[in-house]
Amino acid sequence: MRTTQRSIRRWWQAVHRRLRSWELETPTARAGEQSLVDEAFLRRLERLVILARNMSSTGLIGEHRSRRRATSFEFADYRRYVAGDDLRRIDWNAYGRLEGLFLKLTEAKEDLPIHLLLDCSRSMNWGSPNKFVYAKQLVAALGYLALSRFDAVTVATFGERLYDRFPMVRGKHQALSLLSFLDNLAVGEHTDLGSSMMAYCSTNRRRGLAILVSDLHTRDGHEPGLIQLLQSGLEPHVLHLVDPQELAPRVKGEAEIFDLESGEVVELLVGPEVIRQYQERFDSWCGDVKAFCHQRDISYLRVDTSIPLEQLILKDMRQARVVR
Amino acid sequence: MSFLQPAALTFLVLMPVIVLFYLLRAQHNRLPVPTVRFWREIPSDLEGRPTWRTPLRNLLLYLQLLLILLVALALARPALLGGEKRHLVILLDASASMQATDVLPSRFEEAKRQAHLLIDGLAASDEASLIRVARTPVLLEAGDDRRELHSAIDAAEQSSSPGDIPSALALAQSLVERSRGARTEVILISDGAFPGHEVALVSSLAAQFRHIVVGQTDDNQAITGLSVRPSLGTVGRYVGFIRIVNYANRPVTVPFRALADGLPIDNRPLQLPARGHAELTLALPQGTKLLDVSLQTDDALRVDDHAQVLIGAERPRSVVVASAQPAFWEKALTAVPLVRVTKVRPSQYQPGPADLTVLDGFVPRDLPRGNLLLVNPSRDNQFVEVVGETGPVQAIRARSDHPLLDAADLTALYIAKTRQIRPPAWADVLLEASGTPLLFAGREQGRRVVVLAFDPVASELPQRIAFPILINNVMAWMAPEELATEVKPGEIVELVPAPEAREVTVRLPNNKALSVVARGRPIRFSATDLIGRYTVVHSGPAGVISQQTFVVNVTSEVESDIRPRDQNALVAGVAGERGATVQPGVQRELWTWLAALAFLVIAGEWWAYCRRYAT
Repeated sequence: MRTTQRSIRRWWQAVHRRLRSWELETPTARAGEQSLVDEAFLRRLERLVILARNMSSTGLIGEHRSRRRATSFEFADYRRYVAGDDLRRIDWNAYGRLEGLFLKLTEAKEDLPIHLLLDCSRSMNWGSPNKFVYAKQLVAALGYLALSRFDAVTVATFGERLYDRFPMVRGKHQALSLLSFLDNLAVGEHTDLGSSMMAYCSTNRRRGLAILVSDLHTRDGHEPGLIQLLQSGLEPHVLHLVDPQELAPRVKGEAEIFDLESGEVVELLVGPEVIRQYQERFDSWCGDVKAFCHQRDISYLRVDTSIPLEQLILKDMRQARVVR
Repeated sequence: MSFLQPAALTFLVLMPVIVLFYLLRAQHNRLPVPTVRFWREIPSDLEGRPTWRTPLRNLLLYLQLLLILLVALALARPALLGGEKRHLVILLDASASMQATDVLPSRFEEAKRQAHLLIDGLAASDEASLIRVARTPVLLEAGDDRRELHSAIDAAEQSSSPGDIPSALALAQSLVERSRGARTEVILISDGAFPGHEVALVSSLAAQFRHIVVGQTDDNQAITGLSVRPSLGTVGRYVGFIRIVNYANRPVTVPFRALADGLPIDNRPLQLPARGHAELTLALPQGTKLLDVSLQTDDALRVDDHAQVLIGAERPRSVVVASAQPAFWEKALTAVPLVRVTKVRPSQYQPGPADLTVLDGFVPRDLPRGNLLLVNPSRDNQFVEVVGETGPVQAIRARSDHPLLDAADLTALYIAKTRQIRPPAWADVLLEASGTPLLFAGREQGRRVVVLAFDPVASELPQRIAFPILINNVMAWMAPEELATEVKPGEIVELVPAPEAREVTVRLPNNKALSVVARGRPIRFSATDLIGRYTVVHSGPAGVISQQTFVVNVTSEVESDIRPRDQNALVAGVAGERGATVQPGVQRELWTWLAALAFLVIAGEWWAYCRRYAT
């Protein structure tokens, strides 16, 4: 027993060290803010659960309540008997009191496969704080949360193609290997969401929740990729990372604005009017993305990377009903 | 107002550079973004703008231009000069010690640079005089034209001769006396390598005096003495005496080399103590004509590391004796070495070329061109005025300091009869007897003339031991058998043309030749600034008659002691406040105010930048 406690303590320490190393990489850590490595935060993560709107059966018993009724000990509801029902499930006590035939429905508990899709394109490696580091921290936190809930978790990285994949695992003890996987990620080229998602879905046989962490700056647009996820039976959640500088660029005068992914350069004499027009276009695009998601019942959350991660997960994602 | 460092105004060229920076379009800010699609097609007036832009409405530009202007003016050290007119007498030391290279390229070039600075510091109404101090001080330029003064400084040449400070100060004093109504200052730019007592002469200057010291080190080893003497007990052999001095404050080892007619006779390292010396004696091979000694050292002054001396550079001298009793003179003159005597009767005498013509008892109407010894001149001559005869007399006064009477004691000389001659203006009376001049000598129309007023046969002169000495002195003074063996740079050499010579050509050590038409008179040759061997060629209608050589060596202890000496202290001791080194005429320098203003402009420029005045 003592050996088990010691090994658990070592595991905790290893997780903390890894997360702390990420924190050093990123300039997000500011005095007075709670960080990811806060043990209390991790404890609170363990109490959260990722919500799925359309639960699908995986055949494995998990901790998510299933819409499917199945044989179990947890009562769910009654319904009237119809011909063909299993006579063994008739509640005879209810029949004795109500003189009607009712079936006692019990609730199935199923596990929820979580597909964490992380954008590793070059456009993510920008911003203050760096969007890529922020995204890795977010995926790490969500992965840890899911593993704590005994959900099956897999992580896939993509850019102009599908890069790498962390195999589907279950159980909190896999957290360290997940963090190690995230730790070794590198930034790739441009983003091609449609082909990347097509490649992912063609190899994925398990349905579940697909959490897309990306800035959605893709060459082919965001639509093909999201539609591909929907068509493959996954329930997409879009976490749209936006840097504060994207919202309000701090540039003035004659400027050479160049694209991190394509290298394209636009020369502008930037003044208040140009900034206003830029913000108008950017807001319009974000609105288009949001409307697209809502039209297809896709959960969408715009994530301002200046918001501390703890606040994002414990407050904003709760409000958006991504977690509970 | 004047600028003490006007060269700093060249910093003003930065002003157009700053304007150019503003004219060119500034480098764009580079802003990386995840995507440029939101920036595309945003209308901007950047496209089509010219590469050049007008910077006229930019406060930062004007502030930066003002800053450069202020800094350049401050560095140029503007100063309010006194309203009184000034006259600067600049003594530029061009003596041999100024060839020292401890200040690159040389002390003389550094002195010229200092002189340029002094000229630059003059106000518009000021004047300056520039004197080059060498063996003969020369006024190079005087006036208020700075361009001429600068040109004169640039054209001033280095000399190898010692500097004649007293003459230079006398010349400066004459210039000071001429500049009435102006405040004068005499500035000596020199290393101070001259006797301090010479500078003490500035106490007689009616002007301020300042010494600008040039030079840094005393590292010099020099040959300060070189001579040859016949070796005792031998015939035709000579011994060389060399004195070598180390003027540095540290002991040194110097390689020494001696050549006799180009062949090495000595080669050894010499160990010299700090500020010590060594004296060498070299036995020269028989028949040596030229002794050449040198020090193989890298000291600061190279010109005194080499010296030469000529041995036995005599030439035969011709003497024509026109006398009724020529045997007497022939006997007396042939006792002098290298003298060829030609006897002629007075009635047969025709003037002709000769080193010396002895006219005994008569004076022809046409005198020869060369030197003359007139003995007992006749009454009817037109050369000297004979007023009568007297006798017997006894010589009572003799000028023993004259070369003619060197070691020849003629006092109490008994003379039975003598001419009474009124000495001419060109003559110095060397021997006289109660108002009657007996012997006088001098220069007359370029030739040397000695007049003996009495007939030696009618006196006890031939019996006196002084007689052959007198004859030898007469020959040495009137027809020297050789040129001076050791000539100092800048020294005047008297070249006596050969009697038949039409032209005398001097070939300098740098192989240039100077020719002078010989008119039977001695030629005063002064172009002896170069160190080395000079060849004098006497040419007649039939070609070269004879050749002579002489060498010029520095061998000066004063010039070789190159230790820089500040003579201001000495001057202060002698002349009180005249050694002050205060910048003359400057009432107040303004650079501090300009620098303070520049700091204010910097602060204003920063404030303007922070307030985003930049467009």
